[in-house]
Amino acid sequence: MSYFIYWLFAAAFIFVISNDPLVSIQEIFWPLAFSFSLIFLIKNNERFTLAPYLLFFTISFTSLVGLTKTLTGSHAISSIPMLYGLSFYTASIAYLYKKKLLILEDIWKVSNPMMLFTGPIALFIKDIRYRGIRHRLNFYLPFVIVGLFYFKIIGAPLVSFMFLINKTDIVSSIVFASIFEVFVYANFCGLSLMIYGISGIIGYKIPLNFKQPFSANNIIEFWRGWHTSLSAVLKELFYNPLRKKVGILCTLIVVYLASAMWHGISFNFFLWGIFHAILFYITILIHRYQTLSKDFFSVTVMFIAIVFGRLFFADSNTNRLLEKLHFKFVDFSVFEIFFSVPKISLIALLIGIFFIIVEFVFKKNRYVKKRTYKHLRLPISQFIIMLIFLLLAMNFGGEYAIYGQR
Amino acid sequence: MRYMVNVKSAIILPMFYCFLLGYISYLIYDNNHQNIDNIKGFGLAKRSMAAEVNFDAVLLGGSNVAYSLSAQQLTLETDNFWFNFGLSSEAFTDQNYWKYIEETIDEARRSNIEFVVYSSILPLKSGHILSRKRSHQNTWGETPLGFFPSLSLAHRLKSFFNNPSNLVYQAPLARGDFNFENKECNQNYIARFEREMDEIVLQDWINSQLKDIKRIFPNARIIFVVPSEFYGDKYDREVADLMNNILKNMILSTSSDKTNYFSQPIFPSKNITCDSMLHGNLEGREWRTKLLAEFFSDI
Repeated sequence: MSYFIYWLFAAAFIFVISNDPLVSIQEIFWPLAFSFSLIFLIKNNERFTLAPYLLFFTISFTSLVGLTKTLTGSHAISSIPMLYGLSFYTASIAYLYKKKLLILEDIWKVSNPMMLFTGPIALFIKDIRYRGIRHRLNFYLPFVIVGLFYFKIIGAPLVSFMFLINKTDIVSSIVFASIFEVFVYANFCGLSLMIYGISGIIGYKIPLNFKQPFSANNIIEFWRGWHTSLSAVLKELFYNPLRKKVGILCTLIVVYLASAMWHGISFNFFLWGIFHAILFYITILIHRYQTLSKDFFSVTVMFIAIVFGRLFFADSNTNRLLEKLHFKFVDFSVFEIFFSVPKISLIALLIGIFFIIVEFVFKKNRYVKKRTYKHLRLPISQFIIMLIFLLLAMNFGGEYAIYGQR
Repeated sequence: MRYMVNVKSAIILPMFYCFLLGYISYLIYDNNHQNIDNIKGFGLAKRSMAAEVNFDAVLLGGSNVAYSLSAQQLTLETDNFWFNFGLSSEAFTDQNYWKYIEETIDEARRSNIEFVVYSSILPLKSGHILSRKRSHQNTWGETPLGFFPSLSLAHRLKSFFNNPSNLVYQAPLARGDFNFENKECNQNYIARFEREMDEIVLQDWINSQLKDIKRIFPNARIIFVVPSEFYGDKYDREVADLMNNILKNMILSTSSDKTNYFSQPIFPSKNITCDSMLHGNLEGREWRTKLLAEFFSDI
């Protein structure tokens, strides 16, 4: 009953913020109907060991046949509201089934409309309403404020740089990939923090989907902070069963290819998966053999993985991506774009870079090292964030969830 | 311990309420003060002027038409009487623009229009066509009261301290032409060459625009114009020519009957542009209009 109340609240919330009530009703109803059917079906076939994998790859299949879109970072309005949130609730059910935790009442958790908007994948929802509303506000409101700031002030104006995707020379490609990384982080993390905060205020604790990924020393730690709910699913479904059977490299390749297929079936995600698996493995080797200057190499590999990984991730146009992979140097004229985009976009980029630098450079600071955005939740930080928000907020840029609509 | 409320975190809530109050106050202020460039006054002045002027040919489009084409000059150099209906950002959405035109020119007058020049920058900007479809702005660029203001507080403060009395759109001259009298054309802009590369998006847009123009002006010959631009050494002639051919083929294959296509050459010098690579100054307007008049003599 408790999770049903939360589900009702989330449905009402999605209905209110939606531009099209008819579509939002479908987006609320169909995940509920599908979740119920799926849970009912597999609960009655408990020896069906392939079920979690079939569920997890449902989104890959719909992507392959063109029913859902591959993630690109551009706005993609779903043409089939029936499949709204498919990637999230199938992953939730797969995870809970594999962990042998799935019960019929989980329907209210996995089909929660607010979490289907952009994640996190509903691994758990804890009722914390026994905490007073004042306590919950004091703790969770700062997450909402930080999330809104990330999403609206940093992320949204960065869409002005998206035209750079058409440039194929090496300097432009790296600049675009770096800006796109800031955009994806601000957008996805911002929305995740907002949903985390709103849920907490209502009285429900959900997974914290981002844990300061840039406060990492290497790519392994980075992934412990990025889209953590998907990482947990991948670990449960692929890493744990394979690790001792096929060795670490093969396991990593399978894990990252599975992750790539969850994002969409396309050449760029295939490259992205292989690339990350290899760099993850290289990082393990660096640490295993206690290489000299291992910290330096780990950090270097991490930034290569982040920037070049994002270069692959961003471009689903295979011809253009292949052209980029020629790494052709032309000139540095791409930097002139910083003078041609709206000033609000330039400011957003600078703030985004500053926040990432703070995460990385001050990772040993007592407020940063817990990786819960504590440094941004301090009263002084909150004051500065609110002040900047008041000064810069405007109706401009991309106000959409890049992980939504599927 | 995690949920313990200490003095430090307890001040966040009152701080948030103060911020919320300030933000809502600004939202309301912004909603009541959206027309800072006098876009609305410019559009309404054209509307009342058009009611009193005789014309049988119209210039349609966005600010490139308002700034860089002259209805008065065309009236002198061709056999028709022209009126300039160029509005800032083509009224922010296509629906807004065509609604404005229909409300401004009654049906009887529209059916007597012989020529429609439609000059749009949308194919010259990447993503503009799609972003206009998502826009909630009205004809004057105003948005309904929402979660975010139309202009940031920082922008308003900067404008206030820089030049509080500067109006971008002053009352138009005869036949709807732009008034450059108090306009400072300092060419202080950074040009960025781009094109809409998505052919499906382009084709949809062309179909839709031609359909609307034909519906509104059923007896007119349509001249689809790609406006002059200035990019200096950033101009990519190869891409421009390629997109030009694609656009021309799309337009003429969609509607070869009573439709012409005219791609205006790039501005020969930055000195004849104004505040954007797509806006001519007084001299640029004369140059661009002259070329258009010459095109008419060849039809």
